[in-house]
Amino acid sequence: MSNHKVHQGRPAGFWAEAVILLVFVFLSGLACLLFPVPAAAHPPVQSSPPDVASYTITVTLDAEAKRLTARETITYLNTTATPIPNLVFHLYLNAFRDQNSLFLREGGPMHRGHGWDPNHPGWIRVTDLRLADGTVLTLAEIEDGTLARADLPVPVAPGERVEIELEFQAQLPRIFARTGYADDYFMVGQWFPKLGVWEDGGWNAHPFHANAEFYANFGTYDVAITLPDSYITGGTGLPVSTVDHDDGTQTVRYRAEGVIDFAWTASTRFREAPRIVDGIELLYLYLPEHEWTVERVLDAAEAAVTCYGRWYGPYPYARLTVVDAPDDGQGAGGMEYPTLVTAGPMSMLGLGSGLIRAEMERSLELVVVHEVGHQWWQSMVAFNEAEEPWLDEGFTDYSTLRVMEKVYGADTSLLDAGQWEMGYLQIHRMQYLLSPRLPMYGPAWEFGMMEYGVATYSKPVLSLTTLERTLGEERMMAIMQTFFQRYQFDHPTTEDFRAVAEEVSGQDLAWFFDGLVYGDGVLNYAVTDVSEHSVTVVRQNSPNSQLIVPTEVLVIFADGSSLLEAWSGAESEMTFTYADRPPVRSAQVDPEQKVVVDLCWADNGMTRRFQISPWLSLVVRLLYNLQNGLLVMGGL
Amino acid sequence: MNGWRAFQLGISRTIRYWWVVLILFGVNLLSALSLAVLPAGSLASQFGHRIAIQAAADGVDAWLVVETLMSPLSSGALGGQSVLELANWLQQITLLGLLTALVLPLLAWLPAAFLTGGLLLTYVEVTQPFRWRRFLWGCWHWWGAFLLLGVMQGILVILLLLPLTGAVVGLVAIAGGWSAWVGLPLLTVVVAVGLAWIEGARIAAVLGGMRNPFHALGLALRFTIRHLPAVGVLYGLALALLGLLHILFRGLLLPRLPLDGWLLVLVVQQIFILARLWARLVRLAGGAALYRDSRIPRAADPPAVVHRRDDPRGYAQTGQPGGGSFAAQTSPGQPAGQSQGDGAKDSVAKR
Ligand SMILES: [Zn+2]
Repeated sequence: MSNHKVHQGRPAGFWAEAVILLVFVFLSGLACLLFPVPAAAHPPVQSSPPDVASYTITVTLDAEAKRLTARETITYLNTTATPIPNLVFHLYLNAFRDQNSLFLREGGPMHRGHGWDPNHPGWIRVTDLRLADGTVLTLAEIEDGTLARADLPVPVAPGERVEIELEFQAQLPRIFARTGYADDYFMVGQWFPKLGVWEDGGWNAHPFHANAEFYANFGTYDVAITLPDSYITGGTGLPVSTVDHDDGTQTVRYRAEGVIDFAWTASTRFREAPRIVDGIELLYLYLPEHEWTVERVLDAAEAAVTCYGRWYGPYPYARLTVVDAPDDGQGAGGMEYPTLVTAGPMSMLGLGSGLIRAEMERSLELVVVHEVGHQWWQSMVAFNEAEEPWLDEGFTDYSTLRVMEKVYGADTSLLDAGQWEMGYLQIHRMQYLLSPRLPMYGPAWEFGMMEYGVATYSKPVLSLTTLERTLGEERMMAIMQTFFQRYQFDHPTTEDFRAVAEEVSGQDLAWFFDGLVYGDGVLNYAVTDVSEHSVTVVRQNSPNSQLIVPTEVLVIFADGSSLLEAWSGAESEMTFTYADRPPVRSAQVDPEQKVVVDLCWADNGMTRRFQISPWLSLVVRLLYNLQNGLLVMGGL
Repeated sequence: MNGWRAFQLGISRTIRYWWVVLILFGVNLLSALSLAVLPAGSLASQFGHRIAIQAAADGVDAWLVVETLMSPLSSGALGGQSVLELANWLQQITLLGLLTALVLPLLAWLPAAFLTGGLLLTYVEVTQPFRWRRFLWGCWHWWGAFLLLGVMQGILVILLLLPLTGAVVGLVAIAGGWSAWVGLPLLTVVVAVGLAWIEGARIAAVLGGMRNPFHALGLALRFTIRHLPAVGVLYGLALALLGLLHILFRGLLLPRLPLDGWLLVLVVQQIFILARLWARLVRLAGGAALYRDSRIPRAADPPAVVHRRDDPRGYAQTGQPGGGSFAAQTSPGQPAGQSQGDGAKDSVAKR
């Protein structure tokens, strides 16, 4: 049953918060919409998606009142060995009902830099609930009303299906936390009563926490949306029919199979930019003021779909929709849903859209690549985002980093403004260093805002990258591909990943799982002494825990020859001696910077002699800058 | 005299008195060296034996910046046992940075205010053979007045120029590239007019032999308004010269230098500094020529004949420094010396 703890965010220093805010503006959600349509032209689905929770919804949008009125039919299959005595629904929109919701109490009225407007709240009310045979059920809200329970007259036996019919009304909020409206723009997510996941003899359903995302069974969605005919729509799956009515409205019906959620969008101002990639239709729904983003968003989406498809497994749906977010509704941007993701020109570095337009900052592309990544690591391999958020965000952002580095260059994947360059990895190192001892395993609600960023984005990205560079790219990709294909359309856990990783690598990966995933291990490798015929390296950990990552030591001798020593890192201090060789010139532990969780790379290399040339080079630049300063301030 | 002629005179006089540029350059270099000593030493002790210094010298590496900034937290995570003690170094460098930020304006302002009197005196008394004593007397004599002018200039920059620059930058960031085409020329014009005014006040002070900065500012304002075309052309040309130097060095030369060729970098950078100082002096020397040559409103204070006492040789032999058109104003009805560009004739007119 639902368990929840309200986490009190620890006070972070002002500067730390500033850094976090920057990082957060950007690192937040991503949206991908996958759409399974059996079509010969498309690659086959790896394994056929299970049909556990299926929804048929007819919904009418009152575009003036920003209100939805809907009828919903759910069929739920009990795939477990225990009977289901009751039903637990998510009513996510009630998180935006008033300030007393868990979501707003935990996260405050701001979510990823965008505010909740108390004058334009959101809510959802179930007005009728009954079984298909007409039996009326009573629904009782749980806690803050983002969950509700109804007891069944007869439990659903293992292997049986239950069919539920309900009617509901939902008020969309002014865009906040991924969902809502901004004028005539609608991004409708987490909008319908949705069942939790029945497993282990209980409903896995948590109230809507500020940091937590979602968890749901796979199923088929058939959604008919009635709205004014001036609107252009997008949604999970594919539109299968459009019917125009005499009263100036239209009904657009979407259908999606093998998905865990359904989201849709509508605006009178949308324009459509399609592109076909490997038989998949990429559709970008953009707003006219963001015309300049079209090619770049499609390029990024294409690169992402191509890379992920090659690395993990093909995208099995017919269409992937990328939805633009308006400037006054960027809280809708950066979110993933099956076959539909939201993006938008928001600056991760908080530098305004000028640098993005100038293609100096890559936040625009980054958000697209990240959200598309969730198609693999959330929509198809459907982790429990609430209980193990490091899996979906970590796997996705690790994949994002790989794409960004390959397409835009490792040192310029985030910022490429002349002398000012920054790779995406560095933002993660910066965020990681805010709280490196935080274990990344844990439910979303146990992390404060800053901790959530470290534990579910930065540390997993750095840890997975360290794993990749330590095992080798080929072996890492074999692990990821095996894991994806084994758990596509399933709900794996951290331990499932551990089993696959150790099986495929053939190694005991305790350092990764016990040290970094579950543990608070931190690590610093350093060279502490270089003398004529010996080199001393050390491994430093936090006082009470050990983290050992195998690495290498590169020794260069006076005659230019070199030696690459493997070092398991097992010794906390290690001296290599070279009595028979020319004098040592320099030594470097982890010379290729494979251990990206190393807290300090600056102490990894040491030379025996003072390095006069680089020092002078820096001093000359310092001098010049001081002279410039004097000139400017001298006012001569 | 027109602006083009003033510009030409500015060039020829700065070249004739080349040692003025060298003095300014020497002072600039020594001041910068004095500020660089401590950070350079700190860098040597911290990174002199670290391979990371090579990464820093090859260009600013984001990872190094990130590690240094975050070092207080990472050393905390290691229980304080870090090898490099980057956190301490960060503290040290931050302190040095703050100290530099405090000292640099003083080091920039005090010598500049001091030297301006001497160099303007040199450009005003063009026919004088150079004498150190006279140069230093000029420096000393107007130092106080120019310090005060510097303060007023600083206030103007803080109150007007910085907010305006911020507004332009904000506009460009929000509205995008096109607004730069409006904002930057506007900013340039404001800077040019402000410079012409403030620098004109210094010239007017030396030329008129006065030390009241308010009076000098008033005179310069009137002069700038009345001779706007000439001043505009002179400052346009002089700033274009400066811009050209920036494009040549910053845009073309400096980016092409190998980062590890520190000696070559040093030489080119120092030539650039020297060239920029020269371009500024062209402006001042040209301005001095323009002011000398032009009739401007009468100075309220009579030019300081008393200066004779300070430097009997200088004034007794050649007339007072204010021997130009300013001085002519003190004898109404008598025409000021016209555009010969030399002080002797004007001095005679004064007597
Ligand atoms: Zn994400």
